[in-house]
Amino acid sequence: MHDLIYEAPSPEERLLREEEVGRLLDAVATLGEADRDLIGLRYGSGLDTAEVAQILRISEGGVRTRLWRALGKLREVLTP
Amino acid sequence: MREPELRELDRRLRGIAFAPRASLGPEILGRVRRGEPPAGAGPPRRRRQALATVTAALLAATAGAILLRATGSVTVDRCCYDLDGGGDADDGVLVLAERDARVHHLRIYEDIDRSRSFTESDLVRLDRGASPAMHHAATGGLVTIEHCCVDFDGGGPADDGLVIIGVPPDHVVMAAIYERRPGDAAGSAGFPLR
Repeated sequence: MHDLIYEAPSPEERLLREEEVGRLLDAVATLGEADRDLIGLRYGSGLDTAEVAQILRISEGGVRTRLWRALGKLREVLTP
Repeated sequence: MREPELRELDRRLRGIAFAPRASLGPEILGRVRRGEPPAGAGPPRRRRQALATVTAALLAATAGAILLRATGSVTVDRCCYDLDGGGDADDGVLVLAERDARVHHLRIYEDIDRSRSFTESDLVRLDRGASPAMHHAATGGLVTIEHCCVDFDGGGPADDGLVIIGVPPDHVVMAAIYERRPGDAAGSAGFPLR
């Protein structure tokens, strides 16, 4: 076992990354509850489409369709 | 909306690995118990069959819960190291992974009760899903802490490293594990993070 401690990525890189993440999360927050839940389950929990389908009790195709629509709405929010 | 744009958005969201709202799991479980089907749900006769798998899967949707897979998954709990830069070797790492492969869940915790394993009374410093990503904003003072080599993914050999980015003494922003091979240089540089 050994420990290494060194400087993290540059402040500019971190700032850009945090800014992008912040923009995405702000955009997700503007969506409706159903869309937010779907995105949270799919991307936040590492669940695949089949697992999300089990939780929401809809078909896998239904999950993909809803997710695609939610991403479309998200894209509209993110587009200036 | 063009498909490439949506695929790019999908890729960016996969890279964030944020947590769903904490109330989502209990809320969905409550809907199931009350027999309230979500819009577009299947016919009622399927509900009972689905309940067991739904309940199991709900664990993954609840903050702090761990997704349990039927086969090939292993939970590894290693304690205790100084993972938050606080100076004390009182932190542990809990990993749910497919043996020697994909990481499903990774938790960094402070072993408050000195049990040398995760318990409910411990303090969770970071919870993440399948993808390593920055989980909290940090304004400065970030350091990277690495621990190598331990079997963090249940693969058997002590060939895994743990890399953590945080702000000492108690702020953990990102955590990931990587696998080294004999003869590889020290450190996580060049290794895919899991």
